Amino acid sequence: MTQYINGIAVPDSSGTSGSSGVSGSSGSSGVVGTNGVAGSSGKTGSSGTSGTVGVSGSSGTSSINGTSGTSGTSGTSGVSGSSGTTGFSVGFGSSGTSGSSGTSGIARSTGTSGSSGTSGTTGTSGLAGQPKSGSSGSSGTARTSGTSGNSSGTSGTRGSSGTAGSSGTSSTATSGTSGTLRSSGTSGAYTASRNGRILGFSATNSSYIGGSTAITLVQSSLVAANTLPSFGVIECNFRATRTLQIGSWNMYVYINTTNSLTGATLVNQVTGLSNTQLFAQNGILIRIFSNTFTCAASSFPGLAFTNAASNNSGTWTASSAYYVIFALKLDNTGGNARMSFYEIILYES
Amino acid sequence: MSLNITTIVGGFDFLNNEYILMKTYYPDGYEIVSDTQCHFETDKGIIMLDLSCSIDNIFYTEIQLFADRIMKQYV
Repeated sequence: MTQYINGIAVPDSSGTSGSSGVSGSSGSSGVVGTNGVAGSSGKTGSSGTSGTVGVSGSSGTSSINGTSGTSGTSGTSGVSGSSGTTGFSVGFGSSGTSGSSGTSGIARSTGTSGSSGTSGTTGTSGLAGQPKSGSSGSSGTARTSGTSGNSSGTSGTRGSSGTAGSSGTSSTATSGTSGTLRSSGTSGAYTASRNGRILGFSATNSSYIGGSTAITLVQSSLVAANTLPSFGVIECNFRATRTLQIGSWNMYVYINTTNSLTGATLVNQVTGLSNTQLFAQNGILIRIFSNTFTCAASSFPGLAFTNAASNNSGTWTASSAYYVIFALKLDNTGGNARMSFYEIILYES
Repeated sequence: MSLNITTIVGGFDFLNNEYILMKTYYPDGYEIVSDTQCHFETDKGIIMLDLSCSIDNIFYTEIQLFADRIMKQYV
């Protein structure tokens, strides 16, 4: 609307400045800045309030109301309305946005980086202190056990002595076992030797030999080293049987350090058993004297060795193990024979 | 397993044992007991030897030849 001052049409330009007051309303956006108040710069937001002053600029518009004339001069004051432009300064209200810089207050969260609380981690290091105390606690446990260990340890020592007591019990047991006494009982073999000590025994039939006229090992018994005394007599009894009455047959006794006839030393032989003889038993006495044996060479029953010319004699070292070997020989391959029994008895003298 | 007999003066060595041949029990000093076995009279008794053994690393197939070779050492 055209204004008139003193009847002269005055351009509404000054009114236009009033419209700039409208821009002052943008100052309300400064209120948004108030949100910035969340930041300390929210105060700048209050300068937005001055934007509101800009609104009063719009009251310059109301100066339009001054249309009522003279107030047109006041329209000049409307120029002051241009101060409403100051309302633009409300834009500073937008600087309230800098209030958002209050967000930088979030930077306080950096304060949260009171993560110096992380230094609270130092507190964690305090935890590290806990392990120490914990470990020391464990050592405390050790102490408790140590304490009980002391007590029980002391009693433990006594307990060990108690163990000695139990060993006393076991000693009673061993005496019960007469383990040691039995070893002396072995020397009791000294007593047994007068009654004969069995060095070997078998009542098991061997397999039949046949089809060959060679001397054949049928059974053997190992006499352990250091078994024989310096002086003694070994009684050896053995039996053999046959079922096929074909050809004569023979019985032999050897000793050897290996379970083999090769290299064996002949102790005794009974030869020329008739073809009709189905059972044969031989008993020999072997004299042991200073690692040497002497036996009737060929006899039946062979319990005597009176004729030196018929003796077999050889080395039988007491410190070595020897096999006593029983062998049979057929004089006809059509015959057969087997061992049915042997016993080796030592008499010390 | 074959075993070797080493001849020595008056007898033989078998498994590191020296045996001196004798003729007090057997007139010939030995007795052939089978086709492969022979008893030899020695100072350590009558010893059984057989053709599974070699004499000075020579094997024999005849027990008589085997016995003769051993008794050749008799003095």
